[in-house]
Amino acid sequence: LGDEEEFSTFVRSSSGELQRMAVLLTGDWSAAQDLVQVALTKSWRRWASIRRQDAPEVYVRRVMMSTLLGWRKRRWVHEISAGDLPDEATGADPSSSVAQHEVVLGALRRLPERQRAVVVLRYFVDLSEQATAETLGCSVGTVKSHAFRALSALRSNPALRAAIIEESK
Amino acid sequence: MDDFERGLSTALKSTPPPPVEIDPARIVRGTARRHPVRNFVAPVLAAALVAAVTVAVVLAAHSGGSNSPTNVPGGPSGASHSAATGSPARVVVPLVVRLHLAEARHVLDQSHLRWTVTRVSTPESKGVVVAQGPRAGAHVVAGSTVSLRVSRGT
Repeated sequence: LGDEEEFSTFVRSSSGELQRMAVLLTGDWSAAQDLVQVALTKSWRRWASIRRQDAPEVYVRRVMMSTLLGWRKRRWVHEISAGDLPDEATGADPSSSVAQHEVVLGALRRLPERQRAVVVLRYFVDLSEQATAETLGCSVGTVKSHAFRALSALRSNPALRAAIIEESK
Repeated sequence: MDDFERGLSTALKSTPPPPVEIDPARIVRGTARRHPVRNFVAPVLAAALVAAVTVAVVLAAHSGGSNSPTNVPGGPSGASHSAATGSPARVVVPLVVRLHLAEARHVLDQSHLRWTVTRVSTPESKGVVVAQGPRAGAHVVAGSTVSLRVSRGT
């Protein structure tokens, strides 16, 4: 079937990127894989109408966000936040990309979910404020205020600052 | 965009690739959508077979006296049964955990599977499937029953 082939091609070309986005949103790879798997499963059932649009990844991202925000009550989403705090991460070699990844995930985890979503869509996916609002189903004003609060919190995180400055040198 | 935002963007984009790739075949086969009866030679025979199976299952479900709600198998498509040989087709159990019950039912119906529901108390929101058996990816005979644990929302 043409649909199946087209969908498979889409999954193969985009699932790596979607999983990287998901790990930033959920904080670990197994949750990331679950999220992408569920979002793709939901999308596959609507594939016939999605494929008529220009960019299926726009739709899939939207499904991913609504799925994630619907999981808010799930225990694992909350479970993550308490654990590893930045002191350990700063102890590691901050120049290694693995350590930097850990610091970034740690900093994102401690943001409220919607702020984290805005940060990922704005700075990882590089969406405009308008496109971010459409993906999250909220207003541009809400995106702006989430982004402002999230950035204030991230700027005041010394471990993240250090990791980012290390990177840009 | 200031230096911090640019640095943040760079840091986010240096996220490593995922350890495990997603297999599209698992999604496509796991949630087979409605498709036309493949056996064009004997569509009438296929329809008759589906009707007979449906009646048999409805009777069985009524005489079973179970408290759990149970669906009747299959959609309007008889494609999961091979009319030519009469031997049942095998299907892959789709992943329905974390879907809402209504979505899970739809997915299972499309995969030609039956389901039973047990309500359980979990922190999950009401109506969300929290566990399934057999697990996703298992190969079972079409028309088999998948048991679902569904959150009460308390």
